[in-house]
Amino acid sequence: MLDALAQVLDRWSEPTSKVRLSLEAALPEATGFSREVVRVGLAHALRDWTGEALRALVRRELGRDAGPRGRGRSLVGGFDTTSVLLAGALPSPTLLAIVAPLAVGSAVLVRPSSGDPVTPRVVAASIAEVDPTLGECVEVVPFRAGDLGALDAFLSAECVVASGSDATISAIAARIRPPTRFVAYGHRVSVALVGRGALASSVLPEFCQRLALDIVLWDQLGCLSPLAVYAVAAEPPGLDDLAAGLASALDQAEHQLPRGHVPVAGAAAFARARAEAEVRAAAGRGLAIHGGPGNPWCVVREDTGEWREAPLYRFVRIHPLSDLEGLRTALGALAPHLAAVAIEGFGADPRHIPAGGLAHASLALGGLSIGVLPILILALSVALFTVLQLVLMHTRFGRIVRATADNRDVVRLMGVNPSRVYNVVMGLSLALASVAGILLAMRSAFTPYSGVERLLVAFEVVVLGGLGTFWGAMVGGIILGVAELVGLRFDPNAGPLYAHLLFLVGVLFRPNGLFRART
Amino acid sequence: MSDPARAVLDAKLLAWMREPVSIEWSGDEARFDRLALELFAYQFERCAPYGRWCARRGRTPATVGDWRGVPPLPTGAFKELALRSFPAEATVQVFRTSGTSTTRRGELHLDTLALYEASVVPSFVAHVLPELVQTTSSSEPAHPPLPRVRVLAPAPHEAPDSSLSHMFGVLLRVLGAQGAIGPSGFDVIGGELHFAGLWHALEEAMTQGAPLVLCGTAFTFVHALDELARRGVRLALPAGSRVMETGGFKGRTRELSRPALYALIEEHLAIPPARVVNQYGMTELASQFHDSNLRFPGAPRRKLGPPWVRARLVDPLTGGPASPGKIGVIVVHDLANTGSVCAVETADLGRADGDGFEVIGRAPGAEARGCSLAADEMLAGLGTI
Repeated sequence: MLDALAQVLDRWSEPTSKVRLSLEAALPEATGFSREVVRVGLAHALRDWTGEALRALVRRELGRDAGPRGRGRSLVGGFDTTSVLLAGALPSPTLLAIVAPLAVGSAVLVRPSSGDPVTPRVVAASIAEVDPTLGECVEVVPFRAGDLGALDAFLSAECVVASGSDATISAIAARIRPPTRFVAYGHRVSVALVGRGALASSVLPEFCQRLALDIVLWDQLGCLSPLAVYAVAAEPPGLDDLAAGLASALDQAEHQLPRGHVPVAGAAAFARARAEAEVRAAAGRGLAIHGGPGNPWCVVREDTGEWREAPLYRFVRIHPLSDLEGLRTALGALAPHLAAVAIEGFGADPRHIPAGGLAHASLALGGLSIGVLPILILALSVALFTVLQLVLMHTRFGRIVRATADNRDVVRLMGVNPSRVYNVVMGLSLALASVAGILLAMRSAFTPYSGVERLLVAFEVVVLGGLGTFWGAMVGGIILGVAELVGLRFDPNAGPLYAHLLFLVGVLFRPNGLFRART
Repeated sequence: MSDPARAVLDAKLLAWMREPVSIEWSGDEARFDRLALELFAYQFERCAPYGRWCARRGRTPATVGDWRGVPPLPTGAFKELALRSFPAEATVQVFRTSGTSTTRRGELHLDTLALYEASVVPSFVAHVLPELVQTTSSSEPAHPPLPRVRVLAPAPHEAPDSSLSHMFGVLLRVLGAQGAIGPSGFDVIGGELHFAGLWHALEEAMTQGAPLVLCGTAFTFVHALDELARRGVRLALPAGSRVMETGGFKGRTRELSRPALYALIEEHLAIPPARVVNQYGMTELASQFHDSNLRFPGAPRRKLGPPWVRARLVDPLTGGPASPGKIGVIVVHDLANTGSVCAVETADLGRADGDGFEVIGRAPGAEARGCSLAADEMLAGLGTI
């Protein structure tokens, strides 16, 4: 059974399969989505839903292949029958709502939503095509919304899965009788959280394009489409840039992925929300509106974090948020309905420590312009090297350190605690690394991965200079640094390659490094 | 009122409202248009946020040629701003929409209640007590048994910011003073239905053969009918009795479809649906619409208002008039809103129906919408309004 379902999913995830093409052809008229949105939306939604993904899911969730109860194949089994009450017009939840019960051995009754009468039939047909016996376990049961007799019969299954508004879910729950199990998917909202890292001019346009894609796919009716964007700790100009950038991206997206049919109720909510924003703007509330009555999208840059009506159909509000903790307050009563948060611009974005005027100060030496900061860093490095050298070579502490490195058992006999020496040396190393890190952050941007990038370089510097030699490390560092700079002159994209090549050559000819450690 | 221009406008409207009510009561298009444009010019200038908003849309008194061109403010704006065409210190009354502590409440600010009150009575009489039209317009006193009005809503002193309570208070006061109705009163006390009082009024009316006019919110009717059902009571109210219900069930513990509510009313009070009138109004408006079934018995049921209020259906996609027979957003132009803004875009959908309109339902507010909710049609099947 799982093999058959995996085969079904593989067919669905294949862009040129018959079932995909038939759905792409039928959905625009049935659901109102534009042809382009259907095509791209299906590609995004089904890309990861392969047969192997289903197998992995079953393995992860159930431990092994599940099957009908009482047949000894699995400890976990599905209900004899699961009724699935669909809402909305998105095809991928429909596919999964049918496949998931089948995967645990339950026959499925499906009541299609009026928003998408097509997908359930196509899913059922594709299952029957792969495995006619399994196909008999899926029955599409359309009945009109007011037919309460049919609804009650439908709800008498062992398990009922329903999507809809909270009011619908409550109403259905009230009609379900024990021991029927009820799985409900009620109100859901998703938002985007944007950090300052995403607002930099170098990354903002690309980020806005990705955000716009999340918004235009399925015309913002999907679970994961952000209905609001919260910019955390952003200055007002950053908010304005984000709003303008997103508006531009939505406008561009409209050409490639045009908005589909909007029902009267949706269009009314959309127009009303825009008009209300315009009234607040006219009252001097300090918000900005992008997208006029002729645009099939709207971006409102709000002046507070307070959640406001979300009309969907490509209507986005951008709110300021002082800190992440404020999100719960901003969402208010909607916080429990939060389904997904898209996060951008936090954590791994490049940062640097501002050096003020020092960053750009320079000295003119014989026609050359040399930066003051690099000179200071070099001077400080030499000074620290010198001090460290003096400490290690000419003080009692230095002798203990060297002796401990040479033979910890002997120094223990001398009354020295090697662990304490290790701790002090470790602390000293960290202090020096901190100084190096600060200097690095003043010279260039850094990320959480900057250390990994420099680890290889540090290893090469030490090996090239000679293990255990102090000045060797410094000379090795200067040589590799110069090699990288020279390499950049040859090829701006491959400077480090020349440094690595020089290291290889050095190791070939002097495996013990340029200098030997004194013993 | 210190503004002479406003005084002139109010005087014109009061004169219109005090003209005799007639069943035919057709609108005077030219008069409405003239007054609507005068009011727009006045409010454009006096209500700064509204004026700026109109100007940004390119709508000014110089560019608007007839009442349909007056830009309607969405009702949500009344939750955001104090939309006054008079100085704040002149405020004498603020009506607020229902809501909770976590939701914003819309507000209608008034510097006079004269127009508000003058608008209420003729509309109610024409649509709920049309047989009084002759009585109120003639000098002959009405003959008993006079109809009695029981209100299933709080009295004005219990809900001072409720426009609904104020409306019922005005009706009882004015119609009582005119001698058009018999002993009447409120049957919601302390926020609860006072069933004993209502029961007493029902018994007394039946004993004396006086027709009853039961008015109130739909959910309070449900409470009253539930109580009658619990007692196993089915009454046959005197001939001429009727019901006027208004409002929905939002946030209430029990919801009913309108046909189901009307069926319960017929079952327990012997008032057929043909004698049940729905009132369509909102806090942001001074005037109300009513079902036409008592004013024009036998004709298709539709919403009608007094001559100084008009509704039009707007296509939300184009902003233009909705095509005939098509669903659109209900926009109301209520000239009685002189102190605020006359043109209001509601959050309701409707369909034009001859000289009136039909309310289809509410455009989703989408406070908590998300996936799978665009076609959440099962609710309709589960019998809620």
